[in-house]
Parts: sequence; C-alpha cells; structure tokens
Amino acid sequence: MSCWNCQADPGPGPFCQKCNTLQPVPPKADAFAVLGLPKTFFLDRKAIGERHKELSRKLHPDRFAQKDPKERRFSLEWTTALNDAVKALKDPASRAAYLLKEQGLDVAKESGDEAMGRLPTEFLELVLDDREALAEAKAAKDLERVRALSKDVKARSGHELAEVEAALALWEKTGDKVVLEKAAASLAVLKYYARFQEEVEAIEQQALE
Amino acid sequence: MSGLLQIADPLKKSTPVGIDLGTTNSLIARVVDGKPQCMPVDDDGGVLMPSVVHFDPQTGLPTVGREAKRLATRLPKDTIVSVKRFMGRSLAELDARAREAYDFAEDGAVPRFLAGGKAVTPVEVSAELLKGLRRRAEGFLAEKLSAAVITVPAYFDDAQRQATKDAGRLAGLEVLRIINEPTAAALAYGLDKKVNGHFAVFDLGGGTFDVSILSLDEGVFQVMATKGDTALGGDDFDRAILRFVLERKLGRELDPAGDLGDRLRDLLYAARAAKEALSTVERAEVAVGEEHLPITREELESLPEVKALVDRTLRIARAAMRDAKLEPEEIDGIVLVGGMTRVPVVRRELERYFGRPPLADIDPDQVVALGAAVQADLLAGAGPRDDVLLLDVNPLSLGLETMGGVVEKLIPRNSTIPTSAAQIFTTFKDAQTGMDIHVVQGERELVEDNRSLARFRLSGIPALAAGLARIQVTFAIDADGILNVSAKELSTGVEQSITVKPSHGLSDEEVEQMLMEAIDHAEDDVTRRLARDARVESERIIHEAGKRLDDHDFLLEAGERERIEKAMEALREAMGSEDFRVILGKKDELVATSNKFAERVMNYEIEQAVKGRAADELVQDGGKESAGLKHLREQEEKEAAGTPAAK
Repeated sequence: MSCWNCQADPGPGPFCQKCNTLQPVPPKADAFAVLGLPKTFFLDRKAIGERHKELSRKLHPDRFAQKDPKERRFSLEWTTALNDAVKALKDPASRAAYLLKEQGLDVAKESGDEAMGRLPTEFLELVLDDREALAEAKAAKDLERVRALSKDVKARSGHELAEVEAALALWEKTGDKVVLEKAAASLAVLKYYARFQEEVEAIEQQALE
Repeated sequence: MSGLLQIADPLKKSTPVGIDLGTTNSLIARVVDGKPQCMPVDDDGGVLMPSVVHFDPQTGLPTVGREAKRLATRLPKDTIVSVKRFMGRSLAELDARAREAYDFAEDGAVPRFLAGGKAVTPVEVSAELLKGLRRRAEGFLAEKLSAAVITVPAYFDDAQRQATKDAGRLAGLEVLRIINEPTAAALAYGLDKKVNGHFAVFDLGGGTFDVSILSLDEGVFQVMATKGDTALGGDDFDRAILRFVLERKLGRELDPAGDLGDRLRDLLYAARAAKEALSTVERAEVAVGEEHLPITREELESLPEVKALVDRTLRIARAAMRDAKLEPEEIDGIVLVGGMTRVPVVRRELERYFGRPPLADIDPDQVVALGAAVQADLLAGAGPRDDVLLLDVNPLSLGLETMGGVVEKLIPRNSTIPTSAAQIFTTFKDAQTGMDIHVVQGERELVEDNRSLARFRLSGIPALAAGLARIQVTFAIDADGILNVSAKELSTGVEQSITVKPSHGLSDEEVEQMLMEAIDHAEDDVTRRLARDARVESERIIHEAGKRLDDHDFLLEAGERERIEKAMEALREAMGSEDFRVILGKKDELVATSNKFAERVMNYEIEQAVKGRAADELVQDGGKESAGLKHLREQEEKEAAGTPAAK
C-alpha cells in the first residue's frame, strides 16, 4: 500500500505519516482496528467513548469540508466506520458477539431454531413465563409490575454476562475455542433478555407519550 | 450615486451563513469576529422575515416576507404561509386543515400549490424564502453569498431533510450541511459559555416541537437523544385562544367556517398577538373587527388545549431523557428555542421537571440561526475554533419491510451519524434478476405504522438458482441525516443498479428539472432587475436634466434646449422597453447631449459658491482648475458614466 497522494508508505493509522493526507479505510480493518484498540473483550466503555471523540475530532467530515473530494469521501467512510465500530463494541454483549462472529460464530444472524438449539429447555420455559407475565402486566397497565419484571430480568442478564466474560477470559488466555460455544449460549440467552427489555422499553415509552 | 460598488474578487470566499428556515419566521446569520449575528432581513430592519410567499395572480412573480404576509388576507390562496408543514409530505398525508387552506394540483404525489396562476411545490416555495433571505443579506453585506448551513427540526425525517436541501440548491446555495435546530441552539450556547456537562434543548416553535439531550465535553457536542413531534406547536395555541374569546362572546360553540370564513387567518394573527403579549403582561385583547375581546394569562394557561400541549411536550422530554439514560438532576442547563418558550406556563413546567430555571440569555427566536452560522463558519474553516465538533444522531430508526409487513430494524434511533448498516438479501426464485426493497423510518413494529421512506428496485442480479445470489445492500446515513443506498452481489462482485422511488419527496430528475428552470428564470430575474435599475437611473437623469433646463436656461446655447429635450423624449420612450441595453443606450445619449450644458451649469454654480472667498484657497499652484472644481467635475463624470454601481 502506498499513499494515494504522495506515493510514500503511509504507515499505520488513518493519515499518511509523510504528507498527512487522509487514507482510505483499510478493507480488512475490523471495529477494533478502526478504533485503534487491542482485540480483546476487556475494554472499558468509557475508554471507547473517549477514543470515539478523539478520533472524531480528526476524522469527522466537518473537518474536511474544505478539502478535496477524495479526502472528503475518505473522511465520510472513516467516520461511518468509526461510529459503527463504537456501536458494535461499546456494549459488552454486542462486543462479545462481535468477537464470536469473527471466530465464525454469528450469534446475531442465527435463525430462531439455531439459537433455540443452544438453549436448555428449562430456560425456554422460563422465557415463556416471563413473557406471559409481561403481557399480563401490560394488559393491566400495571407499570410497577412491568418494572419489577424488568429488574428481575436485568439481574439475570448480569449473571449471564458474567458467564460470557469468564468464557472469553479463558479463550483469550488459552485460545481454546470450545469455551466460545459456551459464550455463544450465554449470548443467545442475553438476546432473549434484550428483546424482553425492548418490550419493557416500548411499554414504558408508550406510557410516557 | 447611491448604492455600493460590487467588487467581485474571485479569490475571496463568500461569507458562510446559517439559515433558520422556520415555520413562522426565517432568519439568516453570519459570524463576525468570532461572534454570530443575525442580519436585518425584515422591511423594518428586524431580523425575522415572516416565512410567507405570495405569488402575484397576474404575473406569477413571488414576493416574500412581511409584504407577502400583508397580502395573505386579501389573497389567501396565492399566499403560502407555514410551507414548512408541507415539506417532504405527500398530498395524501396532509391534514384536512392544510388541504382546505390552499388549492392543490390534483395529480402527482408531491403536493403542488395552485398559486399565482401556476403550480408550485413546497420545495420551490421554500426556495423563494431562501432566495429572499439571501438577497436581503447580500444587500446588507454588499457581497454575493453562496454557502449556507440550513437547520431542520431534529425530528424531520429523510424526505423532509432532502426537500430542505433541494430548496437550498434551488435558491442557488451550496448547502454545506443540514443540521438539527436544537443542536444548532446548543452550539450557540455552548460556544458562548465554554462549559462541559449535559444540556437539554427544548424547542417549541410555531409548528414543530423537538427536544434534544446533548453532552458537551471539551468542545465536542454529542447528541445523546432526540425526540419530537413535527405537528405540534404554537399555532395550536392561537386557535385555542381565538375559540375561547369568540365562544365567550357568542355564548355558544364556534362554527369556524360559518362564523369566521375568510377572516380566519386575520383573526389567528390577532390571537397570536394576544398570546405574545400575555408572555409579558397579565391581560391582553384579541382584536376582532371593531371589538377587542379580553383574555388573561390565567385564562390562557387554563385552556384545555394549552394544558394538553404543555403536557405533551413534557412527556416527550421525559422520553428523550429516558433514551439518554439521564435523570432530570443530571442536566446542567436547559436551552430554550422558539417564540413559544416565552410563554410563562411552558417555562414554569420545565423548571418544575428539571428543578432549575431554563437559560434565557440568548433570544429564543435567534438562537438557532446563530448556531447555524457558527457551524457554517466552522465548516468553511474560517474560525480558529477547530476544537469544536458536532456529533449528531439520526432521530428515527431505519428499517426494512420483511415478510408479513413487519419491520426489521437496521439502524436504531439515536445512532451517531454518519452511520451505516449492511443487509444480505437472497433470491427466492431461480434466475430471479430483480428484487424490491422497502425502507421505512420509525419505531413501530408494523410497516403501516411507520413512515415509508423509499422503495428500491434491485436489478441486474446474475441469473442463478434460487438462494445462490447474495446481494449485500448497504444503507448509509450521511452527516446531513440523509440516506444513501448501494448494493453488491457478493458471489460475482457485480454492483447492482438501484432505482430510487422516493415515497414522498421529489426524485432527482424532478429536482434537476427545477434547477434548470430556476437557472432560466434566474436569467429572467437578472435582466428584469437590470431593466428596473436602468429605469430608475434614467428617471433621475431626466429629472436632473429637466431641472437644469428650468433653472439655468440663460446658460443654454442656440438649439441646445431642443437637442436635449429630444434626447430626454427618446429616453422616456426607451424606458418602456424590457431590454436594459436599449434603456442604457438612450440614457448615455442624453448624458452626452447634455454634457456641455451640465458642465457650464456646474462652473456657474461653483463660481457663485466661491464668490467672496479668497481665490487662492481653491486654485492649485499653476493649475488651470481649482481643486474643488476638479473634484466636483470628476464626481459628475463618474455619475454620468453611471453603470458600474449597483444596488
């Protein structure tokens, strides 16, 4: 790869180290690379936010409004990649899912049946009970009950996330891919919980508006 | 000669401006010495230009601003008010009130007002407003403007943003950026205060309501959440006030059509005046014909419509806070935007919810335009403040229609823009080469409950067995909040062609067509203006020549009067022409014919003036001509040459 502007080796990072023009987003760059962060689950939410702002200051299209069309286009591509990377990595569950996807375990794209296969029957029964309880509370317009259910699911989510964390810690230490299956199962559970919370959110928003 | 010389320096970039294209009023601002300022655009030197466009029923020519507003009563169908409510909307979506107010062309999805004997789209009407602002600002700055940041309500959807951008292009402006009104307001405040923390911007205008929650951190403005309602605003207050005073007067319920008829708009203006007065005084009157119907602030605040409106804005504010995951006490400042936030009950309720009084040091009518000017300045790279950056979000989720009319969300609301999402589609029939994709915007689960944004036709898919073709469609929202789509077949790498059929807005072809017409008309406009200027100029020259003939006939040579009068007559005749060159030709002839006589008159005048003064005060060493005389003569020559100056 050589710099599109000065033909020198641009080096790492978005800008050519020789002529300081913005380079295209490398085609193979993943979310970690875009943010310039190490590929690990163990990232601090706050640090990601800080990096987001720091890079936005340098890469945002507003900074390139007066530059030539090529740099303007690269700026838009970089900033889009940057915002999408933050979206993918900021939340721990989605960060885990992103790492798993890179290892060939696409939790997000699994169909209902595939995801179901990962889950124990007793969990599925529990989910059915939860949803029934939520539907009842919604029908009765019992916001207190809705919030109580949400709190309970939130506690269980925390537990499940700890499982994901433990599995990923092990994987990062040993490179043992088998533990990833365990993380995938926990993420499938978290997906159910997330959908549950979305419904709670919708009910609360409706009550507000 | 009056007017300023127009100096065209091709190297000098024009001043970037910020424009608040409002429902009720529009403003234009620019940054001077690091501080944003609104420019006078109203007839009386004010900074608010009423967002009203009148199309003359005879000529079809537009008039904008206060003058147009005056014509609204007499010619309501030819005078478009609150055009913002129509932007990016289809004919079918307009509510009954909007449909009744005007006549519309029957065909086409985009509403077209029948005004001034022609059919005009909301985009074209808005472009007239922008042109009006631009012309007035150009007159004020004595320079041509070309680049602008235009604001839109945060809750404007893709079609409405696109329509606004199109209007800017039609008005001959390079739209540097479309930014959200509340974000602009925060920019105006944040820069002024140099603060860090969380801000809530509460924007209640004539027709729309927005609330945005932002964080400010070392110059980075990050929008955390935005909520709003594009059909909520102060106009509803006006109606409520009018109904209240009239029903009390009549002792019965009002029948708007029967009781008010054509006078409705006038009466609404009167009600608005009363509402505005009630922000500062306890009691006001609504002028209805000869009568003045009283209303108190207490009565206003107890109207059910007012209560409902205030209540609804607070619910939306709470929902936005929830999206931002903040508690009211975590807000460090509340920024007020829009004239309606002057209403005391609104401020009181906000203070009650957030537990602190709102900030009130920037005029809520001006704050959006000021912020837009700051952003325009930043984008033009003019200011030294490259530490300031705006990170905005998309207010509505973007999704796709899937089986059974269910929406699959692609980009959730409050995602920082620019952003993108890719989706892989596959064919379900052998040798299928095309596919329809329906994009919607909104939060609801069913397609029919959301706003249809666009339908795409993917074509040119390689003919493969069912399920083999894999088409990756990328939906990208740019920094203006506008959607762009691209597609690629993954197995062959073939780029797909996409035909965009906007559900509501204008197609690119339609905009191009309008642009072409606008350029044609722009030429017409210019020649018309030049002809008008030439006439004014000629009028002045004829008047002066006539005056000289009357006052100084004793300085005339034989036959000179006849020659001058003949040239005056020829010029008068030429003034009827639409061709400015014909007028200017005859004007030059008159100047040439009367030049000698004019010189004699001037010499005589100066002689009279210096009589009794020491001659050597005026005579230069060895010069044939006095300095004073020389100066005056040069001025006269410049005037006679006449042409390089423009208004």
